[in-house]
Amino acid sequence: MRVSTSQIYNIANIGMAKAQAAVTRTDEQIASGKRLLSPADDPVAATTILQITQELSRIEQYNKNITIAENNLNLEEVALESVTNLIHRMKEIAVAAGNTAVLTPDDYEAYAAEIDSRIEELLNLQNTRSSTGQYIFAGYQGGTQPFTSDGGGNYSYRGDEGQLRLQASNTVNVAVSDSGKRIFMDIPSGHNTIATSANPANRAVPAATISVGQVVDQEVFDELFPEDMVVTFNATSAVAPAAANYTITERNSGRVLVANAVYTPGQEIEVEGVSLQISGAPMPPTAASLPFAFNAAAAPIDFAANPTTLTVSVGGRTETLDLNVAVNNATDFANALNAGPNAAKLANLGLTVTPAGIVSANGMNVTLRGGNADVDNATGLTTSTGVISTNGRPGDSFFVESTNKQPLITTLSRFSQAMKAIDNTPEGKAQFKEMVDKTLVNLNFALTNITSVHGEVGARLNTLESSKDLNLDSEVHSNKVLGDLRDLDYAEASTRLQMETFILSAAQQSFVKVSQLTLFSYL
Amino acid sequence: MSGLLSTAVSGLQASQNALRTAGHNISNANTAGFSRQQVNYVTRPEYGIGAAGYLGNGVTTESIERVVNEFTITQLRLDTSAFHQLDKYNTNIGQVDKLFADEGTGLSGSLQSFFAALQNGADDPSSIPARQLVISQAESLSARFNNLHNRLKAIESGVNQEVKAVTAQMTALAQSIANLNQAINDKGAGGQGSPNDLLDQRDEALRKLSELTSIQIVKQNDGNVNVFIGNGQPLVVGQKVSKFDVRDGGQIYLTNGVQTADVTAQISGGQLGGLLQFREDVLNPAMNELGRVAIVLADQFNQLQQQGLDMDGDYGQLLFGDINTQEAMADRIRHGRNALPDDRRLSLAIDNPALLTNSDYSFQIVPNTNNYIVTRAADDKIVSQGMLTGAYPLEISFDGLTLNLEGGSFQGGDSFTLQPTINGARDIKTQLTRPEDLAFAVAVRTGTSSGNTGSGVISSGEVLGLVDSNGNTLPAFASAGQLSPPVIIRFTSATTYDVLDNSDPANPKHLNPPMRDQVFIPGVDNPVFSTDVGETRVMGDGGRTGLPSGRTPASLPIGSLVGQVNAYPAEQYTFVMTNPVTGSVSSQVVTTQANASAAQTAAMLSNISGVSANAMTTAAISDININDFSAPLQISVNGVDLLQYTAGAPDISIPDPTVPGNLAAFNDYLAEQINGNADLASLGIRAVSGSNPITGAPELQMVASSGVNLDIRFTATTAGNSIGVHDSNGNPTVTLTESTAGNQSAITVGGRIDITMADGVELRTSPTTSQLLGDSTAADFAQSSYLGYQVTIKGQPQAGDTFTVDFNSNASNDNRNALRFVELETKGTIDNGALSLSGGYSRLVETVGTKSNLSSINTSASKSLLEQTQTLRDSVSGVNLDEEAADLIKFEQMYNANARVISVARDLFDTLLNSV
Repeated sequence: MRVSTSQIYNIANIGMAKAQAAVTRTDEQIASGKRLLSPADDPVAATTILQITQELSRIEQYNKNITIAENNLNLEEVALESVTNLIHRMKEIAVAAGNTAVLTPDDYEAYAAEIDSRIEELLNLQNTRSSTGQYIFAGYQGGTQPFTSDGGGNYSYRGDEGQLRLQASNTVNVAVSDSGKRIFMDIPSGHNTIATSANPANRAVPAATISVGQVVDQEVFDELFPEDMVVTFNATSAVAPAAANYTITERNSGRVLVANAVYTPGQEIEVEGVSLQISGAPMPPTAASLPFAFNAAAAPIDFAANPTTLTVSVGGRTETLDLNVAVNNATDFANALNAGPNAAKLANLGLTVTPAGIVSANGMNVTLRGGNADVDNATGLTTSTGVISTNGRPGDSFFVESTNKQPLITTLSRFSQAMKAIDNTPEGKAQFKEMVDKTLVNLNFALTNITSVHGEVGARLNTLESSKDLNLDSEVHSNKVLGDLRDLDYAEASTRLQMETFILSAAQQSFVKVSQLTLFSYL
Repeated sequence: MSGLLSTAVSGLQASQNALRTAGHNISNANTAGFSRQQVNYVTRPEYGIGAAGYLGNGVTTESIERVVNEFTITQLRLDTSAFHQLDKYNTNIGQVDKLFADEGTGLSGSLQSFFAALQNGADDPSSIPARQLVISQAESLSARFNNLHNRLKAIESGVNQEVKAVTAQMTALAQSIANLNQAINDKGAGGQGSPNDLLDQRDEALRKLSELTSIQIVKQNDGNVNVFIGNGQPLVVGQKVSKFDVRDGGQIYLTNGVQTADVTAQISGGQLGGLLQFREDVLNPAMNELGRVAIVLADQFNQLQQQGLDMDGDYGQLLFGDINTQEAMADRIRHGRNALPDDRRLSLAIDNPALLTNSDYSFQIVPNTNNYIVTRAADDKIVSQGMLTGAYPLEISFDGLTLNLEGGSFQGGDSFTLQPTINGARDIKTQLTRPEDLAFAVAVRTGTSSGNTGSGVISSGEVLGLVDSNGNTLPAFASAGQLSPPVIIRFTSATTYDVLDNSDPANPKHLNPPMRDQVFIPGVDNPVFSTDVGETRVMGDGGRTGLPSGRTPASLPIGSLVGQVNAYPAEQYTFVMTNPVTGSVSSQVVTTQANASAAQTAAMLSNISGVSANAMTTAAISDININDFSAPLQISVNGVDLLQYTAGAPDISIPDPTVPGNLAAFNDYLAEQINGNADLASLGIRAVSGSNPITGAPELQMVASSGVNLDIRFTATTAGNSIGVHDSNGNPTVTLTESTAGNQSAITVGGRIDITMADGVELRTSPTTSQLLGDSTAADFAQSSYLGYQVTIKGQPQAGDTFTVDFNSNASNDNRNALRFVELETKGTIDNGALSLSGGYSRLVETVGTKSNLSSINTSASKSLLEQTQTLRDSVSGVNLDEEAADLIKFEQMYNANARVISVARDLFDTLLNSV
């Protein structure tokens, strides 16, 4: 092949440039310690590196999460241990208190005092706060004190059933709190019992309260179980003479257990084997009313000639009233509605009609519809399209829920109340003995419940521990893969550098040699 | 002698020419594009000397030509174009490649920090510093998006600048080629051989041009070359030159003095080709992909944020800016060069970011028609087509996008480029500033009654969405700080439950539309609420359901199997189904049978896809007036006698209903009889002994959860005995009285049907005011049954067990929504769930890296090719100095020899003169 002079230079140039590029690249690799200088060097590895870096940063975060989770659970463990100790002391007292033959009411006073102070201690433990000031047993509502005293030995739980969960690894999600309801409230009871509460919608100010209550006749109560009861306050007019009075019904069926009993604040109410007290002044219902405005211009309205009907509904019950006499004024109209079969129908709905209007004393709103133009004239209401009263409000109500669970604090509170009220007669002592037995059973249940939660906390700590190990494993593995993909093999690189520099210097030397060969030197 | 002299002189001249050519070659050894020249000699015409023949007459220089191989020159141009395209592309892609992968400039570091901050926030949701960190990291994340976008934009504008410079250079080169054409033409016209140096210069100019773009060359007979680019756009024709012009953000136009054409798409090869390829192939897709990640991220976080509750108990505000602001929607459209007036208003909304592609789209109206076509640029697929009606606004939906033609003179020939994601990374910004405003809590929480005797467990609840299918806030979430209404789930048996409005816990009432008598399957997770945002429910509430007024008892022989009827009419129900995806409409007509039980009708309706009907019958026995507690007194329900007889008289265990105050106990007995009967249980009939809620009078309440008719009969012969029967549903009470011996008074209570219809299903009835369902034209006929939240219940609840769902107020320690934020790190949210946020970015890095990798391989390959071709050209045309040195010696000797001939001639001449 013919070779031109410029070729000689070009070839040398290209060769030296290539060798130089290779040397520079290797040099850069050695300086940075990285095998890949840009994703273009190995796009798949570059993406994997991105993913592994993310994975590693996640693992680091999971380990932080685990530390926080462990702190939370340890705090819970400490609180649970204190509660366990407290229950053991209470059991000692209960066993001692069972010695009814020896102990005097004074002794019981002393025991009750200790229990009361322990109740305070328990309340504080149940309201334990974390280092960040959150109540740890309040569920989601960490800022709300979960356990509060309602008076009358009744304590309520204002938290919820929420559980804080933390991510401990890619797949493991660990609960790091337990709701106070689950630990301290929903404790299986040795016997069917009750939980009392006031309806949060009650309107009385100050609010009337309901005592914690006792099951005094277990057999009678077991008949009722699992039905709940509702104590509803009625219009004072429901009894004669007018007075505050209440009705107790079964919650689901509406069946009346006690009707229109006169209310005395703080008096013992006994129903279906349950004894409880309501204190304060519960609000009676606000009557619902639809005022009539007889249209005198339309009088007389002759329902006798044009009989018609009016449909009245209260609380899902409906009656149809017949109108078939002529009316001249509001009084006539009221009389027509109160006449004959209409009277019974109104009574069925708990309504009273006066010339002024129609009143539902129990606070349930009343609907009139299905009337014609005549009825509209007689009432001054648009009964043709339907009209509903809006001013009715139900009376205050209290719930007595049947339950087979009893909160720990209620067990103690009931025990303390029973001690304070001990009747120093053989029958009274026998009844108290029964109470002691129930208390012991319930304390044991509480212990079991707390132990099981404690066990669960331990299991979660184990899960966290194993997650930590798992995270460590995958961290080591990820780091290894990352190293393989990203990091430079120095031995290989330095050998390569040696070779590349050798090539470069060879190229330089051969260029010098070749470029000296020219015929002109000999001319 | 003169002949000899002249021959020698011709030799002298020839060798002088050769020496000059060698000198020319030596002096141009380093001139770019120079081809070595060589001298060709021929003998001069010989001289006839008679019969002896001819005598040689010396030498003459025939031509001086350059040594070239046309094939090699063409090949060199091709390889030059190919190499420079790849080289330019490779240099530019390297910048982007490093930008994305570098920890300091790429996105992945910011994403990691952001999600780490979210985890910290979730660890302690009540901590303000942890929340503040989330906001700071969100700010730095959006700033990183913005920076990346700006860097890409800067690279783009650099590319456009370079395009401008390159095209200017091309215009200059084209001009010099045209000038050379002229000069070559001028010299060639004299017929004096080829102007070698001019030809070399022109070849070199052409080679330089091919560095900038691919060219095609046509040689004319007159010596001109014509140069074309792209698909034959003339750049140089003879002495005429077209000019380049760069406008409209980097579009290239070619003007030949008369016409101007956009040749951007046709240019390939050379530096220009490389720049354009980089812009189309790397820069735009990278901006689109980055924008898509930004849009999905903003949207996902905003949605969760809006569904959650912040520390103040309010629904969360947007964390990032809204992806569909008016400005952003209009900014996604690029108008083509459409006919005036320029008044068309369009916007492009992103409805479902999960379906977004990373492609641009073109929206075109076919010239001279009203037909439009929307094409996806990535694969040239038509994603939507149709006809413009001329009525605006008009919405066109495709690929998770909605193009809204708001108005203006749209006409045939219009074209628009739609770029849904290109500005996503530019527009993302962190909007939230108060740490308390991060919505880490879920809006609902659930509760389990302590009184529950079963083992049912309710999930903690989640929010599905805050808005209905029309985008309006759902009633449940309409009031701040509360769930409207809070609900209670009450089990009516181990396998059925009602969902009730728990606004007044003492007196829960039915929702509107009601959820009554729902089926529970023990042991599995039972979702309680609908997840279908378009689901509606028609509540059975017509004029003839239950025991409508006007029904009267019948007197039948005792035990007569001739059933009574519920007096329900036959009606025609038309279900119109609109497919939510395709929009196609179909319908199905069902005619109910007269007197069919609610259970039968419901079963028939449930056969229709998208429709489920739930039947239920309620009745109550009230106003029991029994004064003669003896045979043949009997109360029967669906053929089952409730009063047990012993020795022809009512069993003594039955509480005597004639005794005042015994009625509740009597009802207890009846309820036990009903609940203990296997036949009735198989029909789902159960009873409770309850009271009239108003008067407190005892009554026996019955429910048939299957929806069968409740056939209630009363047998008595003594005057004054009666029982009342009503349907517990607001209709008047019917009284069953004593009848003649052997007969019984009977009434049948029918059930009612609740019809639940999936999204897109609509019910029309004939007559329009259905006797069983009410007025089907009324606005509230079919009401949405989508509440927007969900809970599941599992385990084995018992009758009477209750669960509550309420607003999650004061939930400072709830991190459920924060955990959903955290989940977004790995959850598939892009490309219909195929990619996570970081996955989307990794793919961008990988795509660019792969392209860069490929281009660097191709560049070095094409470099080698170019070098080989260059070597080939040099080996043919290049000057070899040794060769020239040899030539110098050779021709010097030739010159000497010829000079010697002259001296011989002179000697001959002298000899001759001396001899004279």
